[in-house]
Amino acid sequence: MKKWLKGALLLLVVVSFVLISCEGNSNSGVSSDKATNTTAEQVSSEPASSTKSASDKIKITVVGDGGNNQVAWLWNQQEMEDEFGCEIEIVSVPFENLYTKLKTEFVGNTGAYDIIVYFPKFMGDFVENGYIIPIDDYIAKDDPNLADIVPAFQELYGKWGGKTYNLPYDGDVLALFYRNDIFTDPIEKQNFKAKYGYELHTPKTWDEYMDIAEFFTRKKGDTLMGKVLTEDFYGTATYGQQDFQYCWYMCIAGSMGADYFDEDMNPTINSPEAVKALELFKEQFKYCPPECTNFGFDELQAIFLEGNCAMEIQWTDPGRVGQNPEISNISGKIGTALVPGTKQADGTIKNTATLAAGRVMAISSTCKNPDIAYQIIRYMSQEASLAYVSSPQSGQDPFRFSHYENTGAFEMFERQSDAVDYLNGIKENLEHGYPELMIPGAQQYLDQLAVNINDYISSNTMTAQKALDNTAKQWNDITNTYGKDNMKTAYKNMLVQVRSVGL
Amino acid sequence: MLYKRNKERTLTQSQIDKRFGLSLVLPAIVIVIIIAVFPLCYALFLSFFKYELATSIPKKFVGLNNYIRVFSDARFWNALKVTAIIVAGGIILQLAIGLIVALLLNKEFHGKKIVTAFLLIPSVIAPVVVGFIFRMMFNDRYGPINYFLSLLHISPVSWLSKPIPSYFAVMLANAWEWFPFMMLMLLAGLQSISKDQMEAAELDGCNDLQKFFYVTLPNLWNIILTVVLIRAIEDFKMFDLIWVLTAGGPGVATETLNIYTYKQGFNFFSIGYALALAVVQTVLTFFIVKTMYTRIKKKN
Amino acid sequence: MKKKITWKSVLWILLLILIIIIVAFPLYWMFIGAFKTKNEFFTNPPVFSLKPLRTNAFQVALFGIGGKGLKDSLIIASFSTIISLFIGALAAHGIVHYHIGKKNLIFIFLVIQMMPPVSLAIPLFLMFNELKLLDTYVALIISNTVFNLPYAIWLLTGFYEEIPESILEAGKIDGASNLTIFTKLVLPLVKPGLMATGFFTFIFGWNEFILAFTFCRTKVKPLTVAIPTMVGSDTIVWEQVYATSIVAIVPVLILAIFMQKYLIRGLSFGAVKE
Repeated sequence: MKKWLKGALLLLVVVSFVLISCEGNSNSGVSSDKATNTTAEQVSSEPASSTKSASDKIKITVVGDGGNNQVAWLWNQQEMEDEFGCEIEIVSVPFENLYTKLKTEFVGNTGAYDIIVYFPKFMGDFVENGYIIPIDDYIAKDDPNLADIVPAFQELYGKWGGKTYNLPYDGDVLALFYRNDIFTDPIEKQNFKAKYGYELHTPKTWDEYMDIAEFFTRKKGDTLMGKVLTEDFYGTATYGQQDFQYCWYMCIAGSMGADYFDEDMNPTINSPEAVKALELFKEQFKYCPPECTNFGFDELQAIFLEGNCAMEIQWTDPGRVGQNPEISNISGKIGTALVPGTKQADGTIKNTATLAAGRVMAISSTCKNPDIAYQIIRYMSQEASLAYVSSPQSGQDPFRFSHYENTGAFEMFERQSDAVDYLNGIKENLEHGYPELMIPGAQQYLDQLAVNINDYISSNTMTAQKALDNTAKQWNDITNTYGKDNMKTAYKNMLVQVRSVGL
Repeated sequence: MLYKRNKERTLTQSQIDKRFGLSLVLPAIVIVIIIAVFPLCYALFLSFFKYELATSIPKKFVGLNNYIRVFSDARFWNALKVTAIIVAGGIILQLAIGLIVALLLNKEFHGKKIVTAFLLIPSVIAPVVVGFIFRMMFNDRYGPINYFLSLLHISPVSWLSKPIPSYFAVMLANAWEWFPFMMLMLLAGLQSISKDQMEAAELDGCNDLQKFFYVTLPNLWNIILTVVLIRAIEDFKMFDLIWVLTAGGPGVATETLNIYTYKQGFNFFSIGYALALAVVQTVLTFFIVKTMYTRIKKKN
Repeated sequence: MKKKITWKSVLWILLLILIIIIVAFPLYWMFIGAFKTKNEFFTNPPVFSLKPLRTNAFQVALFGIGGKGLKDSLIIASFSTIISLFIGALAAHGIVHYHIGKKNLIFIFLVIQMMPPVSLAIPLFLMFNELKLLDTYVALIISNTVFNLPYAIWLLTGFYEEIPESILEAGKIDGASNLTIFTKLVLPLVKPGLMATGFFTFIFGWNEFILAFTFCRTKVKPLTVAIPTMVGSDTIVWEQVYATSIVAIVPVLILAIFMQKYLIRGLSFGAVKE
């Protein structure tokens, strides 16, 4: 009796998972046809304001990473619900799992999200798989004042394959912050000129950056600006954690002419320029606090606001947040500048400020009310934007020319001139923005790069050449796994956009 | 002897018993099959496919390709090495601390109950929470641990950003969380060592160290093997703590098999490959655990 | 009898105090963390004081995400425990006292316990999606039971084996039916074991992270999922993390205090046997 029981159970198991796998087939891979067809149909859909009863209210679900990057939505939720006659549900996700969360929902075709607030490096993946819809037609009908958006950001992070998919929400960019009191101090200026032979100014090139960093790295007991230091002082500080470290690296590498791939999808991440950039990146740690290898966003900002380093490259926050005397020792003493670049053959300097992270809003292809969804993202990207990019409570950064011009809105600055200086500084960086990799599989490529860079930084035996060679090899493996031809086409898409902003 | 007739069915007592026993176990078997065996078989099935969800290419049968890829993947071997170090090192730490504390508690004293209860707290805290606590504690510049080290004139350790210290960070956090479990089991074991043996050893003139090695340890041996087995199974699956503490960093220094499999599955969405990794890991764990298990049975 | 203060007892006290400090300090750190403001986390030297006692973090922890988290964690852990205990108690009895497939079953259960949760998360996700069970309590109760049930059975068989055969024999001779033997004889004897097992399965359900994280979205959000949500993009709202962690720990502690009696008895009962 036991034998047939065993047999029956086994048969049951086999039959059932065959059934499940068959169902699994029909669900995987949402076709891209769906995405391209929706816009045409739905532009001429029912009117935006509905006469539906309360129980019939359209519900729009918005997902994004939580915490202070989502407060702007909470502030505007009621207003948008009233204006567009819908119910908005806001879902928050831990940021390091944003890709995972979004991807699992899309793959499972759960239709859970209508609007996604995401990092543009996922754009290639989401577009090629048909998860988000193009919004050109909506824009044509209802322009969110595109001309006002800094072109670099919208060209690089808003479009794919010639179509627009995203509206900006957060103009993240890396910028150079420096202590304008130290840089203008006569004693320091004199000593610097004596030692290096040129005037002390904000570094225009990476070589100058290293000179200045070296010059200002002093031990406790040395003098700075004529006063004795009570603790060690550092020339600079940089990002140590593995998650975004590669963005800091690309600031250097991009300006030296290094690139992710060539036109044939061969990795060029191990080119001589890339290697040189990586070596310079590691060398600057000599002039950084010893704990720098562990620095994430918070620590990197804190060390500068404590007043312990002369300059640093960071997201735009220190310039704003550092004006608050309750948490900063250097309020009123912060200058904002373009990140250093590399001199080109023709004498000009090329600067590439990595658009590290950044957030954009797109409409999911499973959204049943894309016209309302578009209104919502347009509102957030247009009317609501000045308020949240100028607030210290929200983590969002400016991305419209009108933001930069509205210096009065940035109330944290004591002096108007400081606000102007800050806004011009970050605007300049955004105008020289350099994108993260955006093709499908970007997550995997960039993770591999991040791991190898971090390996090199934390090891005594690894060389920059080897770290990048490893990366190139692993990237080839990834490309082959995804299919080289697919990847080539995808990367060509990205290249078009990159070239269009002059990079 | 049994007689089965249509009108009159009599079953022997042993048959009644058998049926009863079966009915007791059947619900468990059915449930386990539906919610565990199914998905696991499906997982095994998918591991033979190339299934990349980052692209829109449908899944393709590739036989053993994923497995071949596993064994030629340098990152896999690294993960294996890391897992071995962290699990082995972690268990040794947990056992050592657990044993010492159990010995300390093996006495009657005022407040023993409260102290024991207090020392159990780490084991009931979610690993996620432990991860967050230690992530702040191990912070290079702003964390209390480096602060205390600096008071002892030891320069700050890069706990979470250099390879070797990061092993220790993970093992220490893990040991902190799980030594109470070890301690509890060992304490139970200690308290069951017969007084006679102890007294005999005393009469023979053994000092404390000898008493430990000749009386205590042999009696505890079985329990030690059992708890090590239990913890080993759990530690092989360790994920939450490492994910929150280092996410496998710096580089891949603390990337255990679990973390790597998760990354392949949920960051890169290489489903087929991730499942192949998972299967390999299960098989490995199984063999290691089986060896330990048979060792215990033999000792008995 | 005079109490001698030997160097041995001094050493003993010192070690004991050291261990207590090692356990207490991280807990203290978490506790004061709940009262800090963001900037107090990034000071050098660190802030050790408890004051001022700000409660904003606790408001979020208890009434916002934390309140819902408590409810959800409770539902998931309790149901998973009840199911595992109930079915496990039956199954263990059958395995031990009726010798139903003992070796094979224990073996299968052990293997299931060893599977990395990731490998279960992927197929389960697809299955739950089909059945529209994502983001429901059912999904999480089921996935927790996957690990809890085999674990419960494994632990319980240990306890059941403690019961001397003679008692069961006596029951049979007295003419008790199988059911009565189970309910009147066996269950009372393994009560400590049941309590201990129930406690452990409850904790596993309460502290489970990876499966909860994969299957939850908005409707269900246990504490272990709520806490990492406070990890914002560039910044972590540490004080909320710690406040919610405290909220997550307290119920388990209370449970542990009540169960302590059973735990110690139950564990020594089961473990020593080996």
